[in-house]
Amino acid sequence: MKQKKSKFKRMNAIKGWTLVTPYIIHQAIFFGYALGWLGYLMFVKWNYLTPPKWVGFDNFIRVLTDEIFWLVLLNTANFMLYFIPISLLAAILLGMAFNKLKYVKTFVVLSFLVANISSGVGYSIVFQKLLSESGPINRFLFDHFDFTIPWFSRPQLALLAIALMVSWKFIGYYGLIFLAGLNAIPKSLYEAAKLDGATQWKQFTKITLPLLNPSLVMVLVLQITLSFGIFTEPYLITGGGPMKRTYMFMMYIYDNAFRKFTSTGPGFASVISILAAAISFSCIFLVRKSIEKEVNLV
Amino acid sequence: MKRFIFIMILICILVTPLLAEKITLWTAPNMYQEQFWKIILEEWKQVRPDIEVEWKIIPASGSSEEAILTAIVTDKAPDLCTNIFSGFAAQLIEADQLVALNTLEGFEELVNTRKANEGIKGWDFSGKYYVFPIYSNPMLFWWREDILTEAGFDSPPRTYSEVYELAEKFCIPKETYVIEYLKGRNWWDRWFDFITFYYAASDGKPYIDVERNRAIFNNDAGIAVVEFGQKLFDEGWTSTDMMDNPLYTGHLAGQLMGPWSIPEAQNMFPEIFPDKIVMSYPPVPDDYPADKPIKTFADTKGMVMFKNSKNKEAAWEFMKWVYSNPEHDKLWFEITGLPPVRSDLNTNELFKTIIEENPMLELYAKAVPNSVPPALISKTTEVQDIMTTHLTEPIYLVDKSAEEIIKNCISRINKELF
Amino acid sequence: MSKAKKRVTTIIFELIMLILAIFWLYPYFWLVFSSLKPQREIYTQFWPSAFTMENYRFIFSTAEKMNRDFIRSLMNSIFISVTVTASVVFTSALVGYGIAKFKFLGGTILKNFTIFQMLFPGFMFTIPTFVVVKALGLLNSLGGLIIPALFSAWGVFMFTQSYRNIPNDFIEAARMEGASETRIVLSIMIPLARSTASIVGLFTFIGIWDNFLTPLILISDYDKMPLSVLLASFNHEYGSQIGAVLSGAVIQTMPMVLLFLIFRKYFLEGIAVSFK
Repeated sequence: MKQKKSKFKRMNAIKGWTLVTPYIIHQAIFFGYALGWLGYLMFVKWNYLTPPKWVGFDNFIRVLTDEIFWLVLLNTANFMLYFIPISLLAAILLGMAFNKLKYVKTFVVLSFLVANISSGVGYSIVFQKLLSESGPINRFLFDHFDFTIPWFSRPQLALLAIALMVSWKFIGYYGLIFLAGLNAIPKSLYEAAKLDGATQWKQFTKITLPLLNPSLVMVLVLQITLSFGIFTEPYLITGGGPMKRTYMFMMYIYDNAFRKFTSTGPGFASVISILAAAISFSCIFLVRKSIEKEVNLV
Repeated sequence: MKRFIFIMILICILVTPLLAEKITLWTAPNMYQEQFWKIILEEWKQVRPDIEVEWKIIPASGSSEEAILTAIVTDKAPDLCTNIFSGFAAQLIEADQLVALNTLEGFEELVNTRKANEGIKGWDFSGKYYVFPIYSNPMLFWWREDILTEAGFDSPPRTYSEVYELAEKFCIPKETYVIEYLKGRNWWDRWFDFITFYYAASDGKPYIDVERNRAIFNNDAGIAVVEFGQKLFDEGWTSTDMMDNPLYTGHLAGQLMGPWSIPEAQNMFPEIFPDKIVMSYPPVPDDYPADKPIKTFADTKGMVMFKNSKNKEAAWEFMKWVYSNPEHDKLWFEITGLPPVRSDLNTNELFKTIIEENPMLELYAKAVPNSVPPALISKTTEVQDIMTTHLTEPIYLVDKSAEEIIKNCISRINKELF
Repeated sequence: MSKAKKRVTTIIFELIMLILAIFWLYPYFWLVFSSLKPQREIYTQFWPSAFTMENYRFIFSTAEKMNRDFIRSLMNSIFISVTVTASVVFTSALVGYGIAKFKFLGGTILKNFTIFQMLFPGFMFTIPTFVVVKALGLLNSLGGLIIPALFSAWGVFMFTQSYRNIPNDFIEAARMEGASETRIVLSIMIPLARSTASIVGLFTFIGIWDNFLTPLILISDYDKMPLSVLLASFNHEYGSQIGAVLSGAVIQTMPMVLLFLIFRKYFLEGIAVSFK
């Protein structure tokens, strides 16, 4: 009997391994081996053509003394300063609106989600034309209010414009995350609060917000990750300008790895990507540390 | 027996393509140049079926230079490639990627037949020639004649003050602009705005001292060009973000154009071009001598052969064939409107008919001797990226004097070149 | 009174949200509408003098003559996205099944490993993926885009999660009848985890269809480019042909919108599942 059971266990393990082995092999190549390359590249100078040359920590020194690195970091922070508050606030409100809607809910939710599945290249082109000096939005402003907004030719406006575009795309999705969070809050809590005579505002600050904490953290993490990885929008619309103020990490990596590889190259760019990853992890860690709370649904 | 012959024929048909030599040719992503190569390659197929030319447009989602560099990295470089400008050639030579053409048999003969003796001089890399120049594109100003007439101008503005005068009469805020001062944010756009204006203002002085690796536009001409831009932006007489094709829609009075704009204008705006367009050299500072001819910038491109080519001889055969027949240059000039690098362009009967039919081409052809090519440096992209961020963008974004802007930009360029 | 007032507020609120939703769709309206206008009226006239298919004709015929074959490129995009999506759904379902339903040491480790993998931001892999694909000789081929994406850590994680709620009885019953493990996954597990399968499928499809950076780096031939890169390069070189560019954008955007609208029910279900 015992023997049979252990045999069964062994069979079970063998079958299990068979099922997961292709995955392990694939990931060994495209995850493990790739990461190994990344680790190696950080310490070499290479132009893809001639053999790589070991340079130790030279790449780190060159990245950290490159003023563009610090500019890109500043740009990313500056972008987050626009993007995170705007889209976070809008998404919370949207989530609550989704929750309240009765008759037109499906249509509204779908409309916001359709924005989310728009293609990066397509919507960048559309917004570039929509917001251009002679585009429909500026034409409307000029005809009725006698001014225009030079969206993509002023540094702060360009960052704001990209933040608004990305918000257009993502708040439907974020709103849905908040909706799921709201649905998880037991209705009985509100009823109890009402009996205690709590105002709407009090209910919101004392019940809704604290209990939305997991959704809030999730959205913040997504927003930070997005801010560090953004590429298509600035690459296609502003080319990183004006004054390099929309030049983001991914463009910086791309340029050095694939455009200027005769002077800097993939080693230099690998160091940028490692540093960017480290900084984005730190941001996420800080968010978690400072606002994440254990939520107890009584 | 019949069967045997049949099989033999079949084998021959199957094997012939395998025996034919194959070379790859990359050409510029431009509708009209593509038309030219299509015809030429058809002809080549008839003449030399033994050498198959696989033709591709430089697959560029950014600039063609990036695409070529990527191709080299991935070992996909073609045998022959057009659209190579001098600075990029310098970069490729540094990376040891090009074949010195003058080491190949019949090079001098080809230069002589092409009448390129003059034109090739600018492509001397320490006694070797790696690039065969194809065409030279001078930049000229196009003006809307109807707008000029309405503002009381019989001829295009020659000086900055005249441009201002025109602007005062013509510009309506946020609607119409006098000239396009900045072309865009790509590094190559600097050729077609700042460097062109600078060559005009300075009588063709270099902006980079190639021997000493230093930027040298910190002079009266450079300052005048920057101040010109500052004035235009301050007054709202120019913008970085105009409508598409503003010159043709009448929202812009003047614009710098290369000859490549001619076929497009003919096809897309026949009601404007050529009747309502007059051309001139770029405007110059007021103190520029009135009778002195004005210089302009020329974008010169050529063909190169890559070292990794496995069929250098076949590639060279093809190159010789294309550029030794003046009929090909005629066809090129006719379709693309880009002046071929030939010293007989204004004298040869072959081109006369084209020029007579299209007086606009004549102006470009005549401008070739008055035009100056870009600086021969391998870091063109880096230098002109710096110019974008620290020279042309500050003109309308930063409240600083022209001297300060130029000084700052020059010190950054020098740091990069050093 | 209060009830009536409440009703009015509700209706006003619903109305405002409806208007906002329509406003949100404005970029799409503008895109489709503009692509049907004559080129020169796109900016100047709200209502065109006549609707025209000229821009689409340009994209499909003229652009092809210019070696920008949009149909070919559309086929590339469809081929890549369909292959990868089918593979990711199938392999994730299989691997997830292995992890969730077979008790062995590797399973537990692997499950934690998928979570660990998801911590790495995508931009860290841009350079090493290029190097690995180059080493495999897959640069400038559709394989270079497909093969690295055949498996997905996120997909495996999602299936593992959702399988835990499926009772083992179903599997036992199928085994009794002599079904193979692959068969069990295909005919029992995937149907039971329908919403997970659809969310994994949709997100994978959208992610691949939409991906711009990877093909930008890996593909250099026009005839192998997916739509995203071809459209970007067309916009770059023929930007003044704004009508044609916009009709290209319609072609690139609309398949995802259609797909989304067709599968919207599963999508919403799946999204609700994935947030739990």
